[in-house]
Amino acid sequence: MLTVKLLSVLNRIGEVLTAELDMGRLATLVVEAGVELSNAELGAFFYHTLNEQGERLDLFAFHGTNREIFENLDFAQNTGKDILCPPDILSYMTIPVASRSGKLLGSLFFGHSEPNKFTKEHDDIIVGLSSIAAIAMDNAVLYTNAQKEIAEKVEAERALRNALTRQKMLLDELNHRVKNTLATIQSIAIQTKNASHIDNIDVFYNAFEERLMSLSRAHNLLVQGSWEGVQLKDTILSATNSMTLTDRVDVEGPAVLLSPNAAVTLNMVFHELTTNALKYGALYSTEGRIIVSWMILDHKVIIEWREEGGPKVIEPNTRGFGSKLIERGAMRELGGIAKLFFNPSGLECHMIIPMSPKVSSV
Amino acid sequence: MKRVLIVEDESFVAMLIEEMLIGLDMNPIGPASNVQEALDIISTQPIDMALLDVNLGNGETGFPIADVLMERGIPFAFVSGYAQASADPTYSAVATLQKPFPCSMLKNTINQLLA
Repeated sequence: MLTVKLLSVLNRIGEVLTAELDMGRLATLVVEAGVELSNAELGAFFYHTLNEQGERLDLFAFHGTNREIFENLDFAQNTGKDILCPPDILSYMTIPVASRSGKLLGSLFFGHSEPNKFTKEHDDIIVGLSSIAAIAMDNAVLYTNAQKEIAEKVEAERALRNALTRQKMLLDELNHRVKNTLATIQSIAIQTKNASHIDNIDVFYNAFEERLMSLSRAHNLLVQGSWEGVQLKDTILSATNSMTLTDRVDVEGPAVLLSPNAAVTLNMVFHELTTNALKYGALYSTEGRIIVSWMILDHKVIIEWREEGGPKVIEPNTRGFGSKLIERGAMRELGGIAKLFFNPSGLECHMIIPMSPKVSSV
Repeated sequence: MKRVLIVEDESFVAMLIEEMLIGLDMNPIGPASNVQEALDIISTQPIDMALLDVNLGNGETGFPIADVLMERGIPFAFVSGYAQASADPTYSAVATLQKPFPCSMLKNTINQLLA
C-alpha cells in the first residue's frame, strides 16, 4: 500500500516538476518535495560543475531550518561528487541527480539533527524523487539551451541582414560614383573636342590625356582620405606639383576640408590654371612664379591665384574649357563666384566660395 | 529654341549635358545644383522641359522638383546612375537617362518628351 501511495505522490510531484522549465525554481520545488516526503529538517540541491579547475558542488537550492549550517560550511571542500556533511547533522541521505546522458547534474541532500531518522522507505522516496528531478532538470537545461540557441540565431540573422543592407548601400554608392566618373570623362572628352584650339586629333588626345590624369590624381587623393575629404592645400599641390617644380609655386592658407566631389572639381580647376600657366603664363618663362593663397572670412573661403614674372598676358578672344569650368561650372557646383583677371603682368584668379558641407573649415 | 532646365550637382556632368543640348539646338537653362535653385528657376522662368539628376548630394534628391513639374504639366526625364531612377509608381511613366548616355539617346528622350 505504501508503495502505491508513494508512486501516486511521486507521480503528482512529477507532473508539477516536469512542467517547470526554470532551473532555479525547479531545484527549489524538488528540495521542498523531498523535505516533505522524508520528514527531513532540511534539504538542499548542490549544482555540479566541471571545468579546468576540476569538479565542484555548489549550494543551489535550500529548504528547511538551519540554513546557517550550510552557510558556515566551506564549499571549497565540496570538490568531487561527495557533499561534506555538516557537523550538527546526525542523520542524512544524499543522492546524485544524473542526466540521461550520464552527466552529473548535481546532488540532493536531506538531513536531520537527530540520529536514525531515515528508513529504507525514505531512501526509496528520495531515489524516486531524484529520477523525476533528473528528467525535469534535463528538460529545463534543454529548454534553456534551445532558448539561447534561438536568441543567438535571431541575433545572427539580424547581423546578417544589417551586413547585407550595408553591402547594398556600398554597392549603390559605388555604382553612383562609377557612373558619375564615366560621365565626367565623357564631359572632359566633349569639352576638349569642342575647344577652339583643338585642330587635330593629336592635340585633342594630349589635352584629353592630361585632364584624365588630373582626374586620376584627384581620385588618388580621395582614396588617401578614405573618401571622406581632402585638404584644399593637398588638392592644389597635387594639381601643380604634377606638372612643375614645387619651388616655383607658393601654396599657403588655413585648413579647408573639401568633400570628395568638391575636391575632384577644384583639382580640375587648379589643373586648368597650371596648364595655362605652363603654356602662356608664369611657368612659360624661367623666372615666373605662382602664389596661391587663401583665407577664411565671414564664412567664405577667398582664394587668390596670382602669377608673376611670366610673359605679357593677352586676354584671349574666346573662352576655353578651363575658364568655363572655373568661372561657371565649378562655382555653380560650390555656390561661389570666380573671376579671371588677364592683367598684363600676370594672370590672376579670384574665387569666393561659401562654407558648406562641401567646403568646411574642419 | 526649346528651353531645357538642367538640374545636376556635379559640374562636369552639368557641363556635359549643356554641351549636348547646345549641339542639339536647344537652350540649356541653369544648371541648377540643388532643389531650391531648381524651384526658383521653375517659378520665375518659362521652361519647356527638364532633365533631373536624382542624387543631388547632401541627401537631396530630384523628386521634390519632379512633383512640382508634374503639377505644372512640364515634361521631364530623370538622369541617374541606374536604369530605373525610382521604384515609386508615381514616376513609373517618367523616362530615365542612365549615366553615361550618348547624345543620340538624349535626342530621342527629348523628342519623346516633346511628342
